[in-house]
Amino acid sequence: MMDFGGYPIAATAAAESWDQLHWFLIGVCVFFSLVVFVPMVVFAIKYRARPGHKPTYISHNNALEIFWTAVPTVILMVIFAWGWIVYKELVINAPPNAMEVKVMARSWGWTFQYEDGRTTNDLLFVPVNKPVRLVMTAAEGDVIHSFFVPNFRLKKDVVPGIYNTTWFEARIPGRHQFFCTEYCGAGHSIMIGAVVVLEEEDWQLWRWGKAIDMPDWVGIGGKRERMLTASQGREAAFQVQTAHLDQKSLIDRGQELHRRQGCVACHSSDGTMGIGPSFLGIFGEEVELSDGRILVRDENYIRGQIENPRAQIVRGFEHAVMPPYPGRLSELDLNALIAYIKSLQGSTTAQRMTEE
Amino acid sequence: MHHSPEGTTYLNYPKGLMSWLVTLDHKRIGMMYLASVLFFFFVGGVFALTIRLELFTPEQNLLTADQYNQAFTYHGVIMVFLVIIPMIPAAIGNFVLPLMLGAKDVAFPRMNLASYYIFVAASVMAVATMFFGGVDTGWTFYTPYSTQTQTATTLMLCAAFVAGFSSIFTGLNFMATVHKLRAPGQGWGQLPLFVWAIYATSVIQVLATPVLGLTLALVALERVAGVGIFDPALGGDPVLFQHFFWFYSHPAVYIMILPAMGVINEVIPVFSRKPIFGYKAMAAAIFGIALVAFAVWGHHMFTSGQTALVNMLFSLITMFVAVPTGIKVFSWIATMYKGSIHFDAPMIYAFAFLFVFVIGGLTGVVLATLGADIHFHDTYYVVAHFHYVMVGGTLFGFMAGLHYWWPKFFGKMFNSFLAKLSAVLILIGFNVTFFPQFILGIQGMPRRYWSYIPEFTALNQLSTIGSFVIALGFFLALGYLTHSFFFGKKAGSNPWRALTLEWESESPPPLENFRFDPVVTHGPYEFKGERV
Repeated sequence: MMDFGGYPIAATAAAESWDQLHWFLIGVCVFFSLVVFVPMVVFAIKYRARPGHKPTYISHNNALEIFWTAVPTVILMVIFAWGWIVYKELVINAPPNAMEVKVMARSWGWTFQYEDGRTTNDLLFVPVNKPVRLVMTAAEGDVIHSFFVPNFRLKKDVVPGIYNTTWFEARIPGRHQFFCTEYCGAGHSIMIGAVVVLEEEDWQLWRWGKAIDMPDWVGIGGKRERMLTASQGREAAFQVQTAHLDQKSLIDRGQELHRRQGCVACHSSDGTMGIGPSFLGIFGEEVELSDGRILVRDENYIRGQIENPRAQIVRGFEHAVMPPYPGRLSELDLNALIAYIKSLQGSTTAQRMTEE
Repeated sequence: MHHSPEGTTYLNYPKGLMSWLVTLDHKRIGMMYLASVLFFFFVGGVFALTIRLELFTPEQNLLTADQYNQAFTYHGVIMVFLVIIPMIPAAIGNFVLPLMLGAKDVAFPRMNLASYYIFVAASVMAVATMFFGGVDTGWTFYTPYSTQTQTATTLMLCAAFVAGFSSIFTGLNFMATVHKLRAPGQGWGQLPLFVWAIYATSVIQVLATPVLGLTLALVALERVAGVGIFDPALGGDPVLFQHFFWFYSHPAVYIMILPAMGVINEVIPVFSRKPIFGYKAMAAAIFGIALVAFAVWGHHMFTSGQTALVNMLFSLITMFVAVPTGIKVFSWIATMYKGSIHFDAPMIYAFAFLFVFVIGGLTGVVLATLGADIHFHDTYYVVAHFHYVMVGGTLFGFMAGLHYWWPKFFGKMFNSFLAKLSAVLILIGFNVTFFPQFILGIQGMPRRYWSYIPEFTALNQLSTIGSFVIALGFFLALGYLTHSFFFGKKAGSNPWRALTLEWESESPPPLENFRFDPVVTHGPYEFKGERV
């Protein structure tokens, strides 16, 4: 029996919106295909060359030409607008309370780093019905990868040297297949894994390092595993690898790095003006640069400044000297340091956050 | 002054191998291009079948992962740079364009010959990479993979760089030819639409190809000298490469499809015995597509991390490609309306083109839709889409043109029944191969996967079976065309009763094309019917 599979499961609200858009697009495709194919076949039969049949001389028809220029244009604008709406829901509109997971891709595997400092490989553990924001980058000196979860209709490239972000809120517990979708060499097609969406109680157990039963696959995925276990005559269920329990949370580790790497000599954590700007209350805030540009100090800005401090220097600090740190901090350490800076919310930021 | 003796053709006068190798005759250069392109089509096709065999099951069949990556790279590089881009302009266009203009040759015959030998040099370099460790970057050469991989990538980058010059030379030559060498009485409004299509293609070739050349040169420099432009480990920006690359390679997609549209513009009126519907709109649409082509490259990068605003703009602009494309498709259908349709092989290919190209075009709109593309990007949906456009569009357009002008090329007819049979086989095989890939894409199968999860097996097997039906169709074509070349019935100067100038010359035409001075007295599609 040929099993062609079915339409993929939509495991997030955004994926359901995506599906509505997709069914609309399929409708548009079918409609316009018929608009072309039906006349094509009818004309081919009706106007086939045969004795006594003469063609009619017609060179153009302005009204008709304007009609088939204008109507598709309108439909295309509707498609465009709908596509933009779905994109916003799918990629941009991460809720502010989202749980953050750092994603690091390397050839050929994935590391996920959680807020409590733990890491897992190739399995991303998240709770059901909680928004999760992914901050993603590839390992130093590695190539571009891409994180793709078909059940979430979600994809984002993972580029070395910058942070790309995306988000999802999974509604269906279980294992959801993910793939690397940017060609990255010999191991590209085995650079796959699963987003493990856990029920709240399992999530709590897992968070505290307890073993849980691995939930079943949802939609595609798991067939190879089932084939393997069937041929070996064993039960499919197995226990989760226990994540590395790094006892320190990301923030604690960042604080330690702040001290150990010597950042603290110039960048205070309490607002005291040093040689460089204090880290207190800067994250997510606008700042004026020495060249007059205004930008928001986000993950990419902080990372860029650590690696190349003179690139986007803050007004008033033109003469400060800082050694560039490219490659001196691992991706996991960078994540920790940024988490620490992010935790140093100033009074204004804290106030604004509570108002929200 | 027409100095080729009576009874000689470009094929047998002047005589001798040297007279071919150093020929300045556009027809001979066109035929040498045709032979080269068909050879590389065969090579690229073998790689395609190898890929499909490997994908017949999820596990390893005959290639290791590295070999598989090289196979799809060679399939892509060969098909794009050595087949699809030169296939219609440099092979068919070289032969037909000056004839359509009533000219003795192209404007710069030496440059034309140079373009061919540059193409040969690039091909030799591309093939040579196979003996220096092979290339595994994919035809897109994405950094930083392409700056790091330890294969013969530098040589392949040089090959693509060199091939670009051949493309630029051909483009310049055709533009000058269209401007300067038209027959008396042939204004811009009397140009066959094939000429318009080739002209627009030439403009893109001349404007966009240098950007590709510079980009590939930068990647080569980075590999050789460690200049940090794209590799973040050297302080570069890998996404910048994608911008540069697609700034050429998206317009290049129209370098590939516009000439095919040009062929269809000729075939449908001739075999419907009716003027092309909306000549002016058709010519304008060609230029509309060419113009918009330069402002849509970012739609290849919706997931790359470029800002939401940039994504939105590229999605919006890309939608406008569909408008002139729609005008062309509707006008082709309207050309058939109340015509007198003859089902010769070129027309069968035109029908196949329409059927497949419409699916390719509509799925292009799906991919231009920002939200939708987030799921489809880099999946088999994209693979299916561009094969529907490139194979279904360009290759079927080429096959329509090859059969349409075959009698002119060689003065012989081919077996009509076998030609139609092979067209139908290729069309069926094509759809069996590539339609399942749309479904695979919807289900989420990523492209460039050497092994896949077993859930995708059945559709992949269907696809592999289809690819061998395509191969069967092409072998059939090889058979009856070879037979025609040696033993075909004499064609006469105008077997399809067409009205463009190339059919006023003999088949095959003599050196310098016409034994008289052609004058244009009517439009290219003034088929006499009942006037209304």
